[in-house]
Amino acid sequence: MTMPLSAPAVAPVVAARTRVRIGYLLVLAAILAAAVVPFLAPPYVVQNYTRVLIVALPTVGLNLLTGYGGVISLGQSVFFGLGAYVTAILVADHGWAWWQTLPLAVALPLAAGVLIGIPSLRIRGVYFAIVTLVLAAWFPNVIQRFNETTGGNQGKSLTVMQAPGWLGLAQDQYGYLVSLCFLLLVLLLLRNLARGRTGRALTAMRDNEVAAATQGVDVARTKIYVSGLSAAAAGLGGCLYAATQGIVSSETAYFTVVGAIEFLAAMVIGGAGTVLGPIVGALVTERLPVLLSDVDPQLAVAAYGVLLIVVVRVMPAGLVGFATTLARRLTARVTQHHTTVNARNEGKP
Amino acid sequence: MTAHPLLEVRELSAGYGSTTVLRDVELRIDAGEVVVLLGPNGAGKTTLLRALTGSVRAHGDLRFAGASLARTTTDGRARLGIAHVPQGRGTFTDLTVEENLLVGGYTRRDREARADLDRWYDFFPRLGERRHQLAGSMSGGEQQMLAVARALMLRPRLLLLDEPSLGLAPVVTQALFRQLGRLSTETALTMLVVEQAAHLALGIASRAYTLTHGTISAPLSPQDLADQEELRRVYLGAAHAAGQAQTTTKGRTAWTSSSNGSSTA
Amino acid sequence: MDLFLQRLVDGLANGAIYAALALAIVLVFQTSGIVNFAQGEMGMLATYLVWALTDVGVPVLLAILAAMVVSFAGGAALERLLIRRIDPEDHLVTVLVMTGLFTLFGALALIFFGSDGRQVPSPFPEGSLALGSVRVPYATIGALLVLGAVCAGLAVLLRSTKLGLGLRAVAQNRASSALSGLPVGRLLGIGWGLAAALGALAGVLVTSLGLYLEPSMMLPVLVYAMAAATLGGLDSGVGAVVAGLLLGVAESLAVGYVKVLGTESALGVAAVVMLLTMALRPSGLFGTTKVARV
Repeated sequence: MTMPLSAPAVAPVVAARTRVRIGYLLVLAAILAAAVVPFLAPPYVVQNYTRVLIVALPTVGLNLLTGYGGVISLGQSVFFGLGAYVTAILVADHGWAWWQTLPLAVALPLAAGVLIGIPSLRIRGVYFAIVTLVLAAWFPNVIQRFNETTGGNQGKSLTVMQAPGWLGLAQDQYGYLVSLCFLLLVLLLLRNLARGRTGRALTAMRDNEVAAATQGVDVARTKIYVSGLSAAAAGLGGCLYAATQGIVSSETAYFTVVGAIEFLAAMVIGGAGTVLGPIVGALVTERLPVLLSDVDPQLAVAAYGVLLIVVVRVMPAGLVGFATTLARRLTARVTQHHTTVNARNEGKP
Repeated sequence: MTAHPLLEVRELSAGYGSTTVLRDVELRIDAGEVVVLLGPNGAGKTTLLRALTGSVRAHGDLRFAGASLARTTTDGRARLGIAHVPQGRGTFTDLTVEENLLVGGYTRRDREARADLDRWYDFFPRLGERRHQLAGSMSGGEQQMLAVARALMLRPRLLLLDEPSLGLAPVVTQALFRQLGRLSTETALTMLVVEQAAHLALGIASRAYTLTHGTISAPLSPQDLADQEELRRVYLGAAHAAGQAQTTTKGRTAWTSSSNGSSTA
Repeated sequence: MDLFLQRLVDGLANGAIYAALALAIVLVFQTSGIVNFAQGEMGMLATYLVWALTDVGVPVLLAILAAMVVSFAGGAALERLLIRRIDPEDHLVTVLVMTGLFTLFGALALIFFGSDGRQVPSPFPEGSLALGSVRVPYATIGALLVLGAVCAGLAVLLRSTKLGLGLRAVAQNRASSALSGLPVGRLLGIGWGLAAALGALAGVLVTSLGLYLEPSMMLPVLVYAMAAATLGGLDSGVGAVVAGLLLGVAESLAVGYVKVLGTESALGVAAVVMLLTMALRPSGLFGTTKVARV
């Protein structure tokens, strides 16, 4: 005869299952809500939200690198810019279609990411961050240096992605939906990655690299792999940026230190090491300047600065982490109550 | 016994993170006494000293010369006159011997500090010979003397010593304790000594406590110390846990000559 | 030959600035164990203060002095309110807080002053000294003299005064310093204050050499100062100064002679120097702290 599980033992399991169910529902609701936006909002708002989706990509990459891999990088702007320029140059000067540039726009940053992954193996945390900061500061100068090809600070314009006629969508709506699809694709890929061998390796490495190595994790290879992936995600973002905004230049903030900091801020504010974090973070960093644009656009930048410091000290897990902890406490209490009530009822003959 | 003990500790608990190392520790030290703290490794002796200097978080009632130490920072407690010679000595390796001593005398008036320099150079001649040498280049024994001298530059009312014999050759340790004994007799400096080499420390002590697994024993008086059977029972009882049954036979001669402050062993 | 000497002289001018900021970074690192990459932005804000004061008629030397004093106070306050609670071993938090400050200061400058360049009166006389066919601007001589004075002053402070001994002690071993009764908090604040004042000086030197004051003016200086601090050794003041001067000269010569580089590649030189140093000699030329895993 089996002993029935006592109420306290059952509660956490039920709570977890409830949480997962709620989680799935929330994700579904979020995707639906996101898909509906371009049909409800005016074009300039849709474009702003498109940028949210695009900025989420390098942030997701950074999240992989820093949140899961433990390497701090201020260099995502470089990979973002590389992807953007590959697309811009091929479309504007060589007549490619934007989607044809995708493989190269992702491959070049990926290679660069792998390359930068090698020194990250040896150089410790904050010092590596400084090196990436220096590279991010240098990048706009490199753009300027090759200004015959890149258009330097004058910029290079390219035709934005055109919606195929049969869809009946406006250009801004098309750009938004394409970006949304890519973001979801990347998130799906990363989810599978997190569940696979690489994900387990990363979790093991995050806790203790030496221990992970003794368990057969190839720390070096995983780190370089992740560095490449992170850069590739940023490159994809850059490609989409060029294809939806239609202009790139060495003055574009996203290709400078300012952009690198924005991606970092987005990751931290949203919550490093969480899946939704980068998106929530990108939402904050992209919408904030728009909301504050009447007052002073720079105020938003000042706000990131303050937010970075404050969040790190007050809410180290970011908005998503904070929300998750809150949800956990709520669901635990609710299911505890339910299970106790049920147990009491069942106990009656 | 004087009305006000110099140091009074009651219900002291301390630990690191979620681990509690000390539980309900109680001890008192009167001015002029030399008290020894015995106990096996891991009992929490170092933690106790660190709790006294505020280097580790502690709860309980800590009183120095009657006043509570609760709100005083580490450097504040040093300024009150509690000097700590930590385990590992804490030498400023990139400063010279003289600079190390001057750091020790930082809180004193310059002229007084400089006068004291000469005093301690006399007391520890080896330091005097090496006054402009980088402290990091000196031997373990010399660094220990330097650490003690540095603490003394504070003109402390209470000197805490954490395992001064650690890593030192027996001859050097004996010399060190000889000097400490001298300090006690000549200046009536109050000391709390944590020491594994019990026989040497007990040679200069007037009282002893034993700390086992974070709990402290009742204090052992000079009579208890003179009674070797009693001492062996207490010390063996504590040392048994660390398997140090052998040391007591050697130290017996030292214990008998405990009262005049000099150890000869 | 003359062109070489001219480039050398020009390089030394920039080098003096890099050295000054690198020295500030090293000072902070030695005091708190943190690399402050907002040091340049702090100097930039101080230079804006100089401009604001001279704009209302304050004589330039007085304005510079005032800015240095205000910077000192600001640096000390920053240490007390924010830095003290950071664990230097927690690299992520350090980077985030430093980045936050970097962003905040830059944004404040843009909000209050806008992005237009401004001219700040120079404390040095106009014109230059002619040595043969090489022109040595008075500003360059001035910058080098200032650097020399700062180095001498710091050396005297650190080696010969009680305060200097206290600063060195706290930098080497904070725990032991506390046990000896040193006012650790106050000394940390002074360390940051001195570094901030140095940063202010670096900012003023930039505008004294002819550049316009604008919010992003210190970024290239920061990059070079970081490279210099890395090359010299993060815990070596001497290293910072030597490396700063070296890098200034190297930049000038490289950009002048290796045509393919172009002026824009200057920052790349710094990046390469940094990476090479970290890879080949992690503790720098004169330092002891390793920035790379061995």
